[in-house]
Amino acid sequence: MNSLLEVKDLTIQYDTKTAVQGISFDVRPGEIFGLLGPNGAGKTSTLSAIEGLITPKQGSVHVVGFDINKDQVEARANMGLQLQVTSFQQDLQVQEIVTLYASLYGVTLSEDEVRQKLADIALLDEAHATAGKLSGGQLQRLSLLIATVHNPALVLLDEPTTGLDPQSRRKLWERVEAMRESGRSVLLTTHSMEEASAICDRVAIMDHGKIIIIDNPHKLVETYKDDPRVKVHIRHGQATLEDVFIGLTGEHIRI
Amino acid sequence: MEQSQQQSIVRTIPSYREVLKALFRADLRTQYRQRRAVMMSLLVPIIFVISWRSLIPAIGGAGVLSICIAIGLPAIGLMSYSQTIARDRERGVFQRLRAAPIPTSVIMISRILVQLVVALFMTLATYIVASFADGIHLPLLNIILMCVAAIIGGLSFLGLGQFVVGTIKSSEGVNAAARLIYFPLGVVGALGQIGLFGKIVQVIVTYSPLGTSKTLLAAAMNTSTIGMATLWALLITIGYGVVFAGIGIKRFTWAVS
Repeated sequence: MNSLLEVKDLTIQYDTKTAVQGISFDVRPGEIFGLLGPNGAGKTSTLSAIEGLITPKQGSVHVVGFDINKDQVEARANMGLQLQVTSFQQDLQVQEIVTLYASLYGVTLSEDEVRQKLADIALLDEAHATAGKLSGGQLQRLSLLIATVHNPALVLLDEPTTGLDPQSRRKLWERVEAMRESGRSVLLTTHSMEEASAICDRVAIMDHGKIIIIDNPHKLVETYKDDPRVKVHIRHGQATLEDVFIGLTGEHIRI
Repeated sequence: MEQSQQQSIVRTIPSYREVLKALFRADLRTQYRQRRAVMMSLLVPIIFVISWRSLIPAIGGAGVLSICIAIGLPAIGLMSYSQTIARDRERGVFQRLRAAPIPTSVIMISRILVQLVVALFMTLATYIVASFADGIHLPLLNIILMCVAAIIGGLSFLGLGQFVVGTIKSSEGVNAAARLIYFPLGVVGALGQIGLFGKIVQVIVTYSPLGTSKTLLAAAMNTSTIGMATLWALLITIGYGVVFAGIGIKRFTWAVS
């Protein structure tokens, strides 16, 4: 079975600093894939290279078979993305933002269709509010709607639940799982091990620009629960993905 | 997967024209809602055109009107264009737009077109005020030529705005630099044109971006004055635009960390 996203031997360098060192992974159809790692591990750089926003020093990224550096427009047309910093034009109204981004992806939406989409994410009352007036949770929901407005095969989510309350987070998980049910693939980065355990089919743990391991989160816990590096970090009797993560990446705080 | 890939391959990729139309509409709306910047570029020339009525016998109606419109042009490039670009870059608006399946050039072309609309609006508004307040009336052909001259002058100041936003990364820095450049350029340019600061400053101002734009505007309003000086003004105006925009584009980064 072909992958919707193929990252091969990706190396990203900023001046003298190597942010990502020869990583490879793939995201399969209907899969939620989590990219985990401490601050500065190289997650956002990897995502930026997948989005085609930075040119890697080495390696390749293929989205639905399209090379992001050679067939950029086609590759981007087949993916939707939610950036870490939700960044819409502050003076545009919510409904105008939806219409604009739909147009940029070649989708024409009637006024009723826009309203229906906003109702689906509980933002209908804010249809005429400007983006600058939305709360963090509302912006995240809007961002997720924009990411899927063109029904892409692959959706990239950069720390999608950061700053959300538990209710909003649960709702977002449901939406991400609904994407999987509809056959889309999702690549997400997160600092929440609870989130990775709850919704990811596979996770890659990154540190210092390299992938340490890729596996199903529950299998990872099973495999490493007796590892001495992990055992010392178990806090509540039973090993969790967070214990495995800290065991494999170390407990010192990254800047 | 094959079916999914097939669906993806036939996905509609919008044409350049469609994307430009969508972005232009959105940018125009944004500009309309940020009326303060437009008011700034409108207010200064209108104040000058009303208060300089007494200069008409000395330098003529075209002379006064051309200086007043020329003063409004730097405000568009420096106070409006460069600052909106710097602010949106800092907020990550461009990163989000660049991730869409669109050529990056269309993002900037849309922004430039909006500013040219503002330049045209400012030019026509200043002319209308001048016609009521100062009794300055131009034939239709000269009004059209005046608009063309305002666009050429406006482009050179947009080039200057691009230079500022290309060489300075923070929006606060761009804001400060734009004001620092605008006031000497605008005030010294306007007053220097009428000889208030002496002959040397008048010559320098004549060949500054504001001075060459003024020369073009004056020639457009009174075509009988078109000559070598107008041609030089046109070439120098284009030169300013190309050099400033060239450096600004080369050094421009879409995102600041």
